[in-house]
Amino acid sequence: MSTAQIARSPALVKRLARHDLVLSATMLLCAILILLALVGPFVTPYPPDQTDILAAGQGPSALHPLGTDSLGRDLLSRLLAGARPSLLFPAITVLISSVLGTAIAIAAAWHGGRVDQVTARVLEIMFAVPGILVAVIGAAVLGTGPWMPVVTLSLVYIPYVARVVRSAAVRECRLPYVEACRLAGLSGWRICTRHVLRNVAPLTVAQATLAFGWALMDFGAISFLGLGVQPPQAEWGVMVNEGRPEMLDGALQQSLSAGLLIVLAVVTFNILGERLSARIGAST
Amino acid sequence: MTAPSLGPLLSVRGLRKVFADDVVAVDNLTFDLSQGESLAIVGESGSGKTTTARIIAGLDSATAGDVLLDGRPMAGTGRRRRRDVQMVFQDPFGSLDPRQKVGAAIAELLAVHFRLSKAERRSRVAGLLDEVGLDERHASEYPRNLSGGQRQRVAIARALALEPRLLILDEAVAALDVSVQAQVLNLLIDLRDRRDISYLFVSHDLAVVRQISDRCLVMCAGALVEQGETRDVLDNPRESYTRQLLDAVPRPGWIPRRRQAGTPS
Amino acid sequence: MKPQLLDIRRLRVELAPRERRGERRTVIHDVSLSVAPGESVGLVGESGSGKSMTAKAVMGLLPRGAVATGEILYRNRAVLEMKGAELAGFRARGVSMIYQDPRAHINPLRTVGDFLVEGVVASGAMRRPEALEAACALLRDVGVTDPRRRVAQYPHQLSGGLLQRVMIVMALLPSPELILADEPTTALDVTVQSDVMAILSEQIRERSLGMLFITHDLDLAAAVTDSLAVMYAGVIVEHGPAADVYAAPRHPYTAALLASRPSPTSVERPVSIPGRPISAFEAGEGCVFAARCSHATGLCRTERPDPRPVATGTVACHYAEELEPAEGVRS
Repeated sequence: MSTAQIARSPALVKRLARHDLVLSATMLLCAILILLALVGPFVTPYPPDQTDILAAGQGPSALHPLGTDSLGRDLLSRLLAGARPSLLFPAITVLISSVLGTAIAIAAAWHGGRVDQVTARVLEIMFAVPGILVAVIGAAVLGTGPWMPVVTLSLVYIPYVARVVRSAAVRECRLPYVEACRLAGLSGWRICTRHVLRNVAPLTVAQATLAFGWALMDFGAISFLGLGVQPPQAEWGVMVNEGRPEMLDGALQQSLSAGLLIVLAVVTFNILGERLSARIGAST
Repeated sequence: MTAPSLGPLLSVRGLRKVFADDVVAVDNLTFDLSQGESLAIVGESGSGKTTTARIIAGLDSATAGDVLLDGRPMAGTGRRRRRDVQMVFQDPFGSLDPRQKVGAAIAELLAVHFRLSKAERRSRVAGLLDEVGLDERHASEYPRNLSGGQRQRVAIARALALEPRLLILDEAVAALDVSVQAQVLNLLIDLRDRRDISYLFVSHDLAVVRQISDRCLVMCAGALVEQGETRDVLDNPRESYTRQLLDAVPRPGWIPRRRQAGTPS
Repeated sequence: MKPQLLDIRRLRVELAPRERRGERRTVIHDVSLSVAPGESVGLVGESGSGKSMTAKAVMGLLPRGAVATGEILYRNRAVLEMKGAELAGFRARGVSMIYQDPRAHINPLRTVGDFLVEGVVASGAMRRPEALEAACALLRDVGVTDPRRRVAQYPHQLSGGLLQRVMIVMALLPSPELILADEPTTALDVTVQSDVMAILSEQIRERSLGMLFITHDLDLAAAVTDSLAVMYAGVIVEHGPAADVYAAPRHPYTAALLASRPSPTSVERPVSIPGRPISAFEAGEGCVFAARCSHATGLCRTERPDPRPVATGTVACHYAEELEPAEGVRS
């Protein structure tokens, strides 16, 4: 059986979640995180950029449930508003690298021979390059801002998806049904897009989920370094950085809350990705 | 319609295939297959029978020699002529896309090759399924929900959808249970009565070959050992290798025998 | 009645459910079968019939979570109750298994010699040098030339036929009393099959070993065994002397199976059985073959027939006595 089986959307969630508590829990957390990114900016108790010198550096209180930062901005509001950029930019990155990675993987598997071998080697070399390093160099060339890491990390994450999808696509292309399609006069493009792609798609999704976890971490780090999203815009990585001087005064809440959210998101998507891969592996 | 040609439908001339590791899979093979004929290629593993079939189907390229359809080379021909030669594979589990419903798998081929309206396509799919002994319920099934025999019927329907003149059957019934094998074998026999179609039937099973072929070729280690009318070859084999093959088939009163020393193992 | 080597009584096997709250799946409903010392018994069936699972049960190799009821007696010792050392001893010295695909059962990274002697050396029956000596002698017996060179080779250097002979030697080396052969020649070419079968039969005869020969090939089984058991959907539907079952099958399934085999000697349309072979857990209340049987009545669909003695064997059919024995194949 091929990577199939894991299919069909509404049934998918149900079937996956059944008898797997960890998977159910991570899927619930994912849903909450995605909801945060969607509605977070609209439900902030205060405008996230509104400073209030009189309320600066406060601990948690009835007015400010998580307290305020050194400029008096409400931390809860900033965390909620920061959810969208913190999750959106990694998502765009992973989307781009998954599409490109899958396309490269299937093209390599379909052509086979030299093309495939060269692609595989190039992917391995790319895999060895650390994402942060590329992003830092990218910032030097392209300048800072949220779109710079999107461009550089999209390239960096291509091998994360392509390597795994390629080996599945190579297996798929060797199955007799692909030969049967060739014999029946279907074009290579059609066989790749209608048949091979559909059969490796579940794996692509699982791999993209994993890559999303890593991208979250890299984006947080890049923003923390001041190369990504720029202050005063709220973003979790930025907030960890902004909270640093406050920590010297014993006010841990800004760095800690933003940092915990990043960790939570990274762990959630990593577990989800691993579980999905395992499920696909089991049904193969 | 092509003009009724007097020559054979398929001519194979001096076919030779050498694999990368210098293994000669097929060596100087020459034979003809006429329109409407059923020709079997018989041999054991390593005889080159499947390689021959794959080259004729266009899935592999020959090292030397020609494959001619209506006297014209097959190599590099367009889709219309490719359609004339179709193939059914041995493995009923791998030869269908696991994520494509049976009806869609057949309709896809029709859509690519023929200009048909949606309704025409649907009725053609129903007709083809009916022809191979399945019905419309099966059209909306995924291959995993079908038995091996049913999948092999679907593979046959897909091949027939392109209205080929030559159907290559590569051990097409070998992987099936005995009780199902007979069904598919009978289906193939009936199809040839209904349609003007030629078979190239690749098999190791002499009993099956006897039922379905008019003529047969016996191959061993890439070379043609013997050819002739199936009945003649199986009843009065001229070559000792053919006799060895026949003697090895379990049947009433059969006693397994050790091969004489000197035969390769 | 002569003492049996292997006696399977009313064996029933259920596999653990696929999902946590799923149902147990029955793979064997009711199998009673015995092998006397020196007797070859053929167990014939199509896919899903439970023939291989029967062999696994005898070896004590059922999958995790499987439940077996009934009895499997080897020299009057209950195999299903064996544990630890007793079971290991039974597997090492009592019974040997020959598998369908030798390549899948031989470690490709170790030499043929290592593979051959591993079992007997590990069980302490022989020391390595004498085990190798014995293996070479046996290899020569089964027609392998230059055995000393062969034992130093790796599995990929040997052909399928040669590997299967190595398997036979491995099975014979601990001098077992019973051989279980699970489709030992199915992966082989016919000429090699004939060769390997000849060797196997010869060895079995010479040592008067018991053999349970599992195959889908009724013709082959009839040629090389003393008695035949035909299995369908987890039930033995017919059992008797091989020549009788083959020449005059009494169960409709046996008859249909023989009729559906294309004739090797003349052009005759094979008579196919409608439908597909079912697995044991798909069978309803009644006779397992009822859905495909041309003689089936209401009784067949509601009540499962027990095996009953008819002529020289036993037949599990309500109408075994009334139905004329079908025209089988006479040797």
